[in-house]
Amino acid sequence: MSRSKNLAVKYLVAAILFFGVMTLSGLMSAAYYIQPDFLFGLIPFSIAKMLHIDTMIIWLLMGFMGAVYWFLPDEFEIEPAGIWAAEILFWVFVSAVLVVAATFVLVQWGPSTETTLWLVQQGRKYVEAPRWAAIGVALVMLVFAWNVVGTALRARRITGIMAVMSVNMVPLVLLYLIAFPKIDNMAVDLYWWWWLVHLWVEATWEILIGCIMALAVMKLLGTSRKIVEGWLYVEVSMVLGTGILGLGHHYFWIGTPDYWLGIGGFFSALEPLPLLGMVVHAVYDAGVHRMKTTNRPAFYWTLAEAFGNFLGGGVFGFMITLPQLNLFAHGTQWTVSHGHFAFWGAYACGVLSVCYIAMQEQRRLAVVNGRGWVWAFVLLNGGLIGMVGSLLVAGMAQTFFERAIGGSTLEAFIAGQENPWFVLGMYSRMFFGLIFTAGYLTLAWNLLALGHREAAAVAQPAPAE
Amino acid sequence: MTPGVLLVTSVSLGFMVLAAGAYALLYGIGRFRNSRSLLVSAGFAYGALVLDAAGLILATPLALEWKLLIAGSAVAYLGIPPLTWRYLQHTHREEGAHP
Repeated sequence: MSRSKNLAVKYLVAAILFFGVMTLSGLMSAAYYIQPDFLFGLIPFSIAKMLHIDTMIIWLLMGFMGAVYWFLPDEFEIEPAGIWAAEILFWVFVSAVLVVAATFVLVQWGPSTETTLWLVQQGRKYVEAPRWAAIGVALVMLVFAWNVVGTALRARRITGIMAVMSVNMVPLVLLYLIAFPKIDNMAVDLYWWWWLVHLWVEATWEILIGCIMALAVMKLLGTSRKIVEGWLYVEVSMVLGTGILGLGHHYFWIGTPDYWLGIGGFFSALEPLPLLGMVVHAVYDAGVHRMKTTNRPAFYWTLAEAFGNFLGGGVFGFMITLPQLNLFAHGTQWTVSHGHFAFWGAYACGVLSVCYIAMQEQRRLAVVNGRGWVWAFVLLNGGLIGMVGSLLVAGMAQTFFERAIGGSTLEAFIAGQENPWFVLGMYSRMFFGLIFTAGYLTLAWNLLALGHREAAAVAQPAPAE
Repeated sequence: MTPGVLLVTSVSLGFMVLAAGAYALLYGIGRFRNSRSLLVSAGFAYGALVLDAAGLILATPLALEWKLLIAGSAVAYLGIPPLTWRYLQHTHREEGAHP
């Protein structure tokens, strides 16, 4: 196997491990809602939540990078430019994430000084990592961009998919630089901060996963490059056309001018349209191939990606995106429900699909199937749907009792938190969170054991007649 | 907007996109299997979408611009599945990938 593919496997393994940390810290965060003094004096809720959100970003990012390093040598038929730097930075990246996680758990916070910003945390949601680690992430992104663009230059040829990916590397790196400034005005700070969070997630990541899924579909179903690239161009234009100014829906209540209400509402309302096209495409591909493939788990995770993205981003997003409704639902568990479903559908399912594609080739398996992946698929998706359903109920109760009836006072907040529907939602979320965790463990076991049983069967001598 | 209307409006917006998804799914499977009953079901799903959109336009206190957007979206949802389908058929036929 090439050095790039070896590195890809390391990234995918790291991604699955950090997926586990995200799941565990998610369970911890859920527990505080049921038992507010859970881990009292040891780890506050804010730290558990930080770990949950930050490891979510890290495992998906590592999954994307693993996927790109996996497909890169196939696309260009040479080792990526600067692969040595990427190999070194993998260990730097993993070590930095572990040190930051340990700092979050053990040090937790510091006084409002430059030292805290550099060594403990920056205190900005999603990009809390201290500056030294943020510089490390920027360096990793820079080398990642060099690996992609440099390989195309060295190979002296470019494919449509890699051209889209190469152009996408520019905003991917540049937008991350917004993680650094320290702006005293909170409205201004949030204004730019959303460029990083929204435009990474709903623009550059969308394009990156679009390219990855295009490569995955070619590998998985043998679909021709021309078909896949044609669809990729359509999808990228539609996603960018609706997604970039969809940024406005994050500008609703942070002190920005009123016109953002119109811009945000309008473009967000258009965001489900390309997702609907993806549903039709998924049906077409499934029909053309009559659900037959040598890698069923990868195929099913690809389908889950299309449907999950539509339901999580489209249906759950459209419920709360118009400003008149968002005024009440913003920042409640309703938003959390949408966020969980959208991230799962848009990104996590795609990364899991690539994990199975890589494992099939790495372990030289003619066919990937069995019961293990089915259990993992059902438990993870069932757990996730249960969680987002529970959060939806809790969020609706919060919106109704705390915001709409209570008028967002402190008393109304307490009344909302104590409302039986909210409490039921929190217990139910914990229950489905445990199911999701069982799904994660099954997935990890399945990916680890994939092909080993077959190898053992081959190694076992046939019984004498 | 009363608290009750707020919830009903939000759920109706979600239902509208869900109905669009059901329409796209049934349309796709119906075209693939050449099944008239599935295509009729797709029509019913789209009908549910239109009724829901009409309810949102006529009975909710959403501002006029959002009502216009909902009406426009309802029309756009009608066209997306057939257009996507034709585009996919065209590209596959051009490549000779599938019949």
